[in-house]
Amino acid sequence: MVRDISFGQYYPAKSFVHNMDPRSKLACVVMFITAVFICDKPEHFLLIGSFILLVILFSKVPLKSVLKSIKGIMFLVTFTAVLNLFFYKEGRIIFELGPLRLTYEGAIFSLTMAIRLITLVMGTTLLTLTTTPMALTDGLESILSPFKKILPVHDIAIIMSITLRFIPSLMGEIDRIMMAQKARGASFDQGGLVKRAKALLPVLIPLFVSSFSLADELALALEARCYSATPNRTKYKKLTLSYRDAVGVVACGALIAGVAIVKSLGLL
Amino acid sequence: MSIEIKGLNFTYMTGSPFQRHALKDIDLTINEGDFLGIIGPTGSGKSTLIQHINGLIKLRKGLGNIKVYDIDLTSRKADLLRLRSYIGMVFQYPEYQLFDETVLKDVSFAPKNFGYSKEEILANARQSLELVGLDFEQIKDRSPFDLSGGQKRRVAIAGVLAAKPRILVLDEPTSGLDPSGKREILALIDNLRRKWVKTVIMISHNIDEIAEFANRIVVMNEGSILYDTTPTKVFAYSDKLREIGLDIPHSVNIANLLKEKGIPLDTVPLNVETLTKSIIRALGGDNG
Repeated sequence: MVRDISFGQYYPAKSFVHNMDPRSKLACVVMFITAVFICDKPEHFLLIGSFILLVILFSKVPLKSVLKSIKGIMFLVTFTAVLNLFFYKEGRIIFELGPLRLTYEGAIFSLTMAIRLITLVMGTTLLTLTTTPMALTDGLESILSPFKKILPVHDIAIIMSITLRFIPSLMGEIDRIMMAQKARGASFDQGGLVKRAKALLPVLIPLFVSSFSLADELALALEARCYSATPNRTKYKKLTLSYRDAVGVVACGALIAGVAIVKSLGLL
Repeated sequence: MSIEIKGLNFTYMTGSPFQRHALKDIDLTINEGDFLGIIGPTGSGKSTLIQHINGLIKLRKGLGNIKVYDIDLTSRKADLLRLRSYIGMVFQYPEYQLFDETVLKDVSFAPKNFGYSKEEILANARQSLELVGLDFEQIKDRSPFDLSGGQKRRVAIAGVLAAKPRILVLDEPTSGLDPSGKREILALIDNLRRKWVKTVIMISHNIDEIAEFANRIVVMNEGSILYDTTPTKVFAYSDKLREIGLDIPHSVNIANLLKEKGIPLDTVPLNVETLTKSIIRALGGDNG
């Protein structure tokens, strides 16, 4: 069932991480990604891994929810890992069969890449798990505000939040239409690729029709309220920084420093 | 017996913070020929229950049994296509299921999926469009998206009827219609039970529209069946019904008030006509 998908869906809780300002959380994620890309040996990820565990602990999000996000990318991870394993030609050979060659360095490389992908997804999922889509777009708008003169920052933010807002609605709509067509004997999981693609038409057409009418109604409602994105709009909920944000940013800075030191000194 | 449900349980989004126990130990047997009304406030599990009947929600192991005619839904190899040809489902706002170029093609969608012959499909499409009160020749080649709201709903219902189901399930078929549109749809459903389908199951949160036609009423609240009774007897529980947020028909309210004032009526009036007649009787007037 489509509505059971909870990939990166906001997990409501009251915690240190939830209460951080979305701007500093975005900054933290950028710093975290930097740290992940500095690492180039599987051992280095011990630091990253313990950092993630620490954040999960402080966010009160169950480990299960975070791990669930990896499940979705597991196919991609295994696929790239296997490719990396055999396309890395240099180094000490462990195993060779025809054009296939497995090297020690190749194994390490593909392991590093796999862990890198997993940690990246875990880190970014923690952001969406602890931040509402609204807060996220607010934060982004605030970060981009210096570029107001050259970019329609507020328009971009409102487009983003409307998009995010309608994802669950469209999911529900898909679910409803699929059920109605299934009840009329349609099946979506039988036959070859072409047949399956064709079977989706009875879902896609009504979906398009209703999305367009929804967009139309929304535009009408915005206009009826004299909505205009251009003047300087004020916010009901203002973003404020607190000690938590300082702690978070410093912790991420320390992570980068730690990873860099470990790497340059070859400690691990 | 056409549908037998035993000990059905269902939970949405198990193990997440959004977990919700939607159905709790539901036991329900629906007989052939029943016009069953299921009422209950929003979120009481009505829709979840009927989605189970049609195999749209898969039964989980150990969480209940459902049998529809000879099809046992507990079995892994249950023939879902045959099951769905037995049960016609009219969802809320059914007009959203319209997709094909012409009305005829759209109405033929279900019987085609169920493997009916060409002649059968055409005959069923013609009959079902006429049953819902549309002129077959006039409407068959029009695009369903060019029709008016009321016509769209009729075409969508015809699209369900064209498979000639034994059981017709309707989920709030009157939502979003004006009073006269509502009456027309209800009259249509009543007519269908006589002519086209054997059993009707209708969901509503409005007792008014169900009480008049149903021979049996199931009241649901918070995922359980509260009462399983007849339309006239269900109003003995008026206080409880009001408590869970259901409206009582005005005619029943008036009868209850009259009883409090010492004028008991001899029937439970489900509409204004019977109310008028029973008041006249109670006052000793002529009931011609």
